[in-house]
Amino acid sequence: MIRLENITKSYRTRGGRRYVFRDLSMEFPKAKNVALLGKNGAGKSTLMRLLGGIDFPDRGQVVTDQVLSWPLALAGGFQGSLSGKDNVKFVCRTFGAGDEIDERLAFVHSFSELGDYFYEPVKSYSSGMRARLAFALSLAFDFDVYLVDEVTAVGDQNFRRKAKQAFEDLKGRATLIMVSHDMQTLRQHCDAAVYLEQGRAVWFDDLEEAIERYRNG
Amino acid sequence: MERRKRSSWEIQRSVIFALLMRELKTRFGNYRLGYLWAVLEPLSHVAVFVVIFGVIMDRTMPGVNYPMFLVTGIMPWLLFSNIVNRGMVAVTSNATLFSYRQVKPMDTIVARVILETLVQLFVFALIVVVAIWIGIDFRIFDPFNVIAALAALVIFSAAIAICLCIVATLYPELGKVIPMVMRPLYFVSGIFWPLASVPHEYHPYLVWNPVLHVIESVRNDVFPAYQSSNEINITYVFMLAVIFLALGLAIYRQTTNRLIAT
Repeated sequence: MIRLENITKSYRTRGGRRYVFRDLSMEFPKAKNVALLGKNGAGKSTLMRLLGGIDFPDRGQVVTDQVLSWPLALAGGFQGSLSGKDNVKFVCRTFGAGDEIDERLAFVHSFSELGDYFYEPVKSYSSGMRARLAFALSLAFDFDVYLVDEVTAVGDQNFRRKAKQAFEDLKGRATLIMVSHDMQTLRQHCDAAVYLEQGRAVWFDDLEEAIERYRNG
Repeated sequence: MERRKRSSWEIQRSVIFALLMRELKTRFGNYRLGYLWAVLEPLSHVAVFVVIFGVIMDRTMPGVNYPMFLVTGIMPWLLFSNIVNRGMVAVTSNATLFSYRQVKPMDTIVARVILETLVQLFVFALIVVVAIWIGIDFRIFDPFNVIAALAALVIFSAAIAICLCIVATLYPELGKVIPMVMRPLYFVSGIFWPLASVPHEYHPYLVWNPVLHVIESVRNDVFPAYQSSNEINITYVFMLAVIFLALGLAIYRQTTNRLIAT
């Protein structure tokens, strides 16, 4: 269970304060893969960051008894001048994974299919390669909930199939909270949905209804 | 995988260790020149001053080896300035790492303070060993005092790094001004002159500077002929260190979330 309790989140912009959420309360039930839907700027990525504990509400709190991944997004998390391997090593170490580092390195190396690029600086990677690395890295750890922000949309056909398979394998063990503008991706992975609109969140037990709502704006 | 909850201390320890290994790699890993530069930097300062003042100083301070006099000034200074300058930008240069919630801004500062301390102390030790090996008469008469002085300096520098890091991260415009304000300190810290050579009426202003206290105190413990002043007091440095540390940690508590999110 992940519960948002009276979350208010705003950002300072040049035109004054802009509220993304006002007094938002909701609950993500266990054992459901949830899609986050909403227009650009509706707060999908902000919500992901709040869930991931890398941004903080002005008021209210996120309460959970589960272990959440970091938000798997395209951009962040890697230092360009270091190799993929060293970046992975760093993350493993922060999790205190002393003895398991070699296993995890081997897993990420093979799952990401980076080959020799694994030993090259991340700044030389294409966006698809970065995404593969980020995705493989998160799968090297056992989270209860994976926060996935568009990341699987980048890889090629082969990698998408692999990602899909990986998420299938997680079923029963871990769940997803996913942001994607590709409805096909969401249909593949999610059963339920949250529709974000004007700082409010509407829960849909059925993804199709949420997609319908999203389409009709 | 076992799902044992780690204590916050355990988490912080492994994060700082991870950051240390990473900083080592980014600082020294790419090219071997990094190691060389760590040793050459202090030596280049020493070389410049020996060329400029060498002849005069040998006459004004009999019994004190001038190059080693400079080394004992430069090394504490580099310890201070590297901790502050690198610690100050620790948060901005590691911003992408806060995607992992276990990584906290303080960890990035602490990792840099530890690394700089180790590097500078190692270089200091290396220079001393080589100097003795090539026959320069250099002895540390009171190792405990030297350690105390350098420890005070490290804590003080770390405290300043924390304070300035918060300011420079939250107010980038101010962050640009800080190095400019810091630069004159180089000339009033007694790196290339002894306090005794300065007229007495200026001492009350100079002794505000804690770095001067450390440098004078170290010299007092290594050169038997060195005339330090009774205005020099390491307790003062410790006190300042504790005050700034308390201040830095208090602001840090209030601003942690903003440091992560910016």
